[in-house]
Formats: sequence, structure tokens, C-alpha cells
Amino acid sequence: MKHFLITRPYHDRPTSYLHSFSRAIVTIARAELNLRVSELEGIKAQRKNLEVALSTKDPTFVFLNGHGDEESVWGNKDKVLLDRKNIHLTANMIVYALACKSLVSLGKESILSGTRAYVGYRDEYMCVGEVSKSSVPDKDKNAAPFRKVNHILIYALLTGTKVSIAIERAKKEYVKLIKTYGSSEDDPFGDAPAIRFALSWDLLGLDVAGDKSATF
Amino acid sequence: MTDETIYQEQKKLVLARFNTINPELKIMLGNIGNLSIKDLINHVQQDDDFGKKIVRAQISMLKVLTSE
Repeated sequence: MKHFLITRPYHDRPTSYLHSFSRAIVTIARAELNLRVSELEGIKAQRKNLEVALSTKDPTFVFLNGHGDEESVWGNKDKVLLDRKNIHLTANMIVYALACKSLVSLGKESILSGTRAYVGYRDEYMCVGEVSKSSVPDKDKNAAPFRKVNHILIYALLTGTKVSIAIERAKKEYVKLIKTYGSSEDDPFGDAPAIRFALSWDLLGLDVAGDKSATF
Repeated sequence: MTDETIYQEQKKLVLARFNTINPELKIMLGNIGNLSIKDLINHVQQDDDFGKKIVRAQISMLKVLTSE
């Protein structure tokens, strides 16, 4: 059985949105794709737990959600989960980091350490939520297009699509949403121009290092 | 037309578009946190690195919108 490892911290507003975005894929991975899923959620998203999971459970696909920078991806309370000191633990795996900037340096470093492919963002990851402070990620209409693209990408990767094709599908969806988002129905607050801008930002940042023909 | 002239024209266009958006609308930007449209406008006006990236993304968006 294929093994899928996911980290899902939710200690602040941005990570709560990423946590919400990945809820569906965890359910699908278990129920429909019949994958063995290791989930490091909330306070479990810690370096030690990640290292144990990578070392002993032999996952072949790793999906990291959280903050990050050029050299690391972070977990609960923004503590570093993965950096150049432990990146070798992802050798022979495919990594997708929904985090800021980590493709720039950590992505390259991972390939040198044997990771098959590292999908991530070259710049900050941008998302737009509703202005209301009481907005809930699961119900936030402004965040829906970001959720959709992310789901298309992770679903494609988990179902064995080549990394390059999965990224192409996500980029096509970004373009489609930039062109079509903003009807009165899906833009009740007139926020579409900002949402289209943020989608364009993410479109420019998404890329892969390593073997583009890698599959899970 | 020099690259700098083109950039200045692009900047004007980007600022004009941002000025039509609710200035209080917040964008979540990873580790940086929430930035309002007003903040984005300030970065573009100040010509800092982030402001230049904003111009690049907005121009990219316009190219997508005008492509077939």
C-alpha cells in the first residue's frame, strides 16, 4: 500500500486556511485512494515527529502545509520541520510544500540529497480571505479558488500523475480562474480584482525541482 | 522606449487598478501576515523589491486576461 505523509498545523489564520484546504484530500486519500496516511496535525506537526515518520514509515509522498522560507518549512507554532539538516530523510520521495519560498533553496538542496521531485513556491504563497474577522476558512468564498487549485494539484499528484502534468493542470486552473473569477455570484463583496492578482502571484511562483516525470 | 520607461508605465497602470479595489481588503501573504491593498500600493510607490514583484504579478495577470 502506498504511503502518504501530511503535516497540517493550524496555529494562526494562514495555517488555518491551509489546514482547511487539505481536509478533503486526507479523507479522499484514506477512503477513495486506499492510501496509508500519516497525518501530523496541529501540535503533532513537529520536527521530531516528522523525522520519525520519514525514517520509520517509509512514505513515498510528503505534503507539507505551513509557513516557511527559502531554506526551511515550518510546523506547529512556526518551529522548523524540514531544513538542510534533515532533508536527506526525504530521499527517493516526492515532496509538495504548500509554503512560502522553500523551492528556492531547500527544494534545490533536497534534489542534491536524493529527493525525486520537490514541488513548491519560489515566492510567498498568497491567499485572499473575506474581510470579516469571523470568517471561517471552510466557508470563506474568497478563499475558494485557492482551495480549488491546491486540490487539483494534490489530487493529481496523489493519483499517480506525472509531476510536470500535475503542475500544468494547476497552472491551467490558475489561468482559468484569473480569466473567469468575478461574476456577481462568486464575488459578493467586489474582491475579485485582488483575488485575481493573488492567483497570478501564485501562478508565477509554483514550480518543481528534480525529476519532472516522477510519479507517486 | 527603455525598460525603465516601460516599467514606469506598468507601475502607473498597476496603481490605477489597485486604486479601484477596497483599500482595506486584506491579502494573506505567508510569513509576512496580512497586507491591505493600501500596503501593496505603498510597496509599489516605494519601488522596493516587493513592490516590483507586485507589478510583475499584476502585469502577468493582465496578460492572462487579454490572452485567448
